[in-house]
Amino acid sequence: VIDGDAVIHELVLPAPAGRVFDMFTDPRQLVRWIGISADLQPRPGGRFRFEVAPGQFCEGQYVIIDRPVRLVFTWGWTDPGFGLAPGTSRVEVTLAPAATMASRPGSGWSTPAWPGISDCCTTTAGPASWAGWPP
Amino acid sequence: MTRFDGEAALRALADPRRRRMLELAWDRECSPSELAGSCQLSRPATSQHLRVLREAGLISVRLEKNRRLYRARADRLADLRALLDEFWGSRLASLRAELAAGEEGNRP
Repeated sequence: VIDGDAVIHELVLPAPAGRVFDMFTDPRQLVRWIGISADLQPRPGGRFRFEVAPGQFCEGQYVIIDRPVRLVFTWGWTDPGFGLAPGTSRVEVTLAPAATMASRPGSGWSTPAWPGISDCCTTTAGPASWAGWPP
Repeated sequence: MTRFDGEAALRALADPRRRRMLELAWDRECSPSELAGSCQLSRPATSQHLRVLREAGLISVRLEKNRRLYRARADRLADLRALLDEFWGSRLASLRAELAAGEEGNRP
């Protein structure tokens, strides 16, 4: 979904929220889905850096760490060729039981895609200041 | 401008007055005086903001007779969105696959 102020991804994941959360903050878990090596300091203000592909690094800083419901961090690529430097984008991860999300009006889906498993992950990427925009 | 600079674009968009200018020039060309009037800005301030938008590749300018006409570059904004969308879209798909594999593995 592209909302007025951000790019939003909403998905149902087949794992409890705590496990999903750790996939973002535990380097051994993180490298299983997003990078090949990771150096993370999962505390507010702590920095992280991970290698997405050989020689390509993403860097950022944790802003909010509220396990297992909310994680906010800044993010960007160190390679200027990507045109998105560390600190220029903000990512918010919100985790909620899938049942709650499914019953929320307008959330876009009505039944969990993974029956019996209960967590949902929403990530929002974009500058915090885009409000209701573009027209 | 040879390559899209997402960082410059995000910085340009961070200012609400510049977003307002892009809104005004979204569907049609606008002159600087029109933008200054609608945004309640002085002409020099308007020029300054237009320069930032132009350098970030978010607005195009065309000279007609003695007037400069500005128009938002929707394609650049789409590029910016795609940049943010693609990376996380594909990574989250990997995250889901990884979690699904983990759950399979945990089953007796």
